[in-house]
Amino acid sequence: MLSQAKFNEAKTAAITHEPLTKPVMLSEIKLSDTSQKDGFIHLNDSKVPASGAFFKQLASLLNIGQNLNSKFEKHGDSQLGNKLMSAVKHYTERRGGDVPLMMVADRDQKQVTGIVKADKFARISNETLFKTAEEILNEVPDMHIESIDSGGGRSSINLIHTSEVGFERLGKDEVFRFGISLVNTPTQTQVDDFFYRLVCANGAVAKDMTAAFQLKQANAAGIAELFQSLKAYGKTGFVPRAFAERLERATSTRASLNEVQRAVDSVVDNLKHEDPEMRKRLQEGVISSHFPMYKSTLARVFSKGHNPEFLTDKQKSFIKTGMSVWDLVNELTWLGSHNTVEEYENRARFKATGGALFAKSNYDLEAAQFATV
Amino acid sequence: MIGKKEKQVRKYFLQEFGGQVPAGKVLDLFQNFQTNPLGEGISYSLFNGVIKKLRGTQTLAGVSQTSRVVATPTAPAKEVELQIVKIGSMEFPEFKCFKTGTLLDQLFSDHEDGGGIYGGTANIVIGESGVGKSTVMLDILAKIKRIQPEAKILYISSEMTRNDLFFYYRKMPMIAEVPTLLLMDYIQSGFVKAIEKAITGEHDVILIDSHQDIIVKLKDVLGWKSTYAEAWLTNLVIKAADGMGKSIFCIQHMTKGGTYVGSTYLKHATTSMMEMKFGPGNRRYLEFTKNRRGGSLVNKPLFFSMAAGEVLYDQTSWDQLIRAEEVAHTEESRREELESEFDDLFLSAQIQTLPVEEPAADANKVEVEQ
Repeated sequence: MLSQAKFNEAKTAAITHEPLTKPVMLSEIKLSDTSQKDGFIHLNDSKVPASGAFFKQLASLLNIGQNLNSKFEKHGDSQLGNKLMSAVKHYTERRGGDVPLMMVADRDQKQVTGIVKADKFARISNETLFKTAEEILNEVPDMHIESIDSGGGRSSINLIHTSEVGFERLGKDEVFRFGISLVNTPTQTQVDDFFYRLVCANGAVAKDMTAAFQLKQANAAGIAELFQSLKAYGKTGFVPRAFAERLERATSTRASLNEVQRAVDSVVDNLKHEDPEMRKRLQEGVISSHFPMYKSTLARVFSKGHNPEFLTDKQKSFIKTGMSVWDLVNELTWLGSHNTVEEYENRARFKATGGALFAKSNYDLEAAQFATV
Repeated sequence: MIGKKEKQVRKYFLQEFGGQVPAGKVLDLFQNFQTNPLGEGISYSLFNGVIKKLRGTQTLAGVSQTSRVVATPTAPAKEVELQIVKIGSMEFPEFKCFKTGTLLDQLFSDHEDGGGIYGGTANIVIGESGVGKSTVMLDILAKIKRIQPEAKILYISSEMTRNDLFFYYRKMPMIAEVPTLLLMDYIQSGFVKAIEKAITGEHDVILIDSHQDIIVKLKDVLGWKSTYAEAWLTNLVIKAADGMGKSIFCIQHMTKGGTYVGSTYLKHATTSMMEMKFGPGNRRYLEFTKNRRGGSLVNKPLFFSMAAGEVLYDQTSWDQLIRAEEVAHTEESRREELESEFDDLFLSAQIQTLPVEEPAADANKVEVEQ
């Protein structure tokens, strides 16, 4: 938990380093064919340093293909510069220059770092973000600041509720703690929800974040909607409305071979051992003890005349295994929070993998029963 | 052969104008005719037909040259005396202000501490069917009576019968003390008089439910043209509000697409327009889309619900909205600050400006510090 002093410190830093913004029209941005290479644009007759990300976002705004962008990044050729110049010209002429944009700059790096269409800029200031967090803390005594992340023009205030929430379906040992993150990117304000899964009360073991609310406009209506959404979260004790439903889906849906394989890969690739032979033996051991269904599913696929190695991810996502999605999440969580014989580079990573799997909007085999309709 | 009703009209012109048709619009003549006992039960179309006959007769027979001449559109209009008065020298009525004791008072007026419903106002209330127009308005009347027992309130219902009202009363016992006039009682006789008397009578706050329905009845039952009926009722409302200092509420209808149904004349002449709508999750809310007494709170939704027999306004979401307005205002200032800092950092005169064609310097070596 974060102290008030640390909170204030973070608040001051976030305000001080707040990204600068300027509304501009597309026609005001002047480019040369070397602008991108040299890292400059011209704005109101001034030469303004611009980052690679800025040009990338400008290209995307002007519908310039990702391929050309990547090509520039790799080889630095002038094709993109020319294309950008002509696209700006084309847009400006076709629409009379009437494309309102919002330019974002990093005051510390002293360069413009991003650009979005003005109507896509939906961000409240860092000061308001922190004030909003303070209001939540005042209104909900059980809410605490878990941490504050910042960097790259981004600020994230993570607030966690102290209540432990259980779900009947999972038994009495399974409890969760829920929280929200108030997030400011350079162009967007959003609220993410996250949860910690507490297994056998041995501490936080799984964390996941999903965007639960995105500010649409930084005007009164948009801000009122943000407050309304926070109020709605508060009413449910910050338990995401869809959480119980998701839990139901995770426990009743079989994990696909694709989902299991991804989980297995994330674990075995993380094993720490120099000797390749030993490493291989450890991998097999981990699979046998933690993911036995993986082995049996592969055997079943072979017996049906298919070689799993040649199956695509899409094909694997249609093959069921003997474990539920929840079982898989459980396994990853357990591995991420217990000391085992085998050593891992970073076992905490499994918690995030499990959380991400659980938070997937759709599990591969969720609608499998309809295949036979 | 002249019918009984035509005889009535002819008798009227004989009594009032010596058998001649005076100059002026037929609509105006009809309006005056309606105030005469002979006007009862005569439709506008019959009246107009008789006038045509009378005027034709007069012309053909040369009975009354005068009458024909005055009826000509090119005839000189009646002399009008312009009354131009300095605003400060105008005579203003003593405005009464009525309070409901709810959050709604603030929306009605920002000229009075705590708000309230000013006298001398004509207000339109619109909303789709079932949104709660009559319920909210009856609640307002009942609450005014509760806070200011001396206030003379009146509910004029053209649509509802006693039986319909019973169910409102059962739902909202607090409306027991609301004086009510059921226009349906006068549909056979005295309809126009009843409306006129009720609107221009002794009451301070009058709810007309509904403006459109009265027009329909004037049209269908009495045979008035709808434009005439509309103008007549609107003039009456404006006369009562502006000339007599009353506060009049006219419930109006909306199309399913949410468009206002009614005359533009009424829409423009009124002090305020309050709209009731279904919001997210079918929550009901009201908002003013126009308010000459409370401009600062226009277009701000106030959610409401029914509980314990009365309308409750959602203070929490209202406070949130007001707070959001304040925050949005602060945000605007902050964006201006950030833009100003941007300009200072990148666009100030101290930054070296170069022509577009000129080769750019190494990005890492550019000095933009001031």
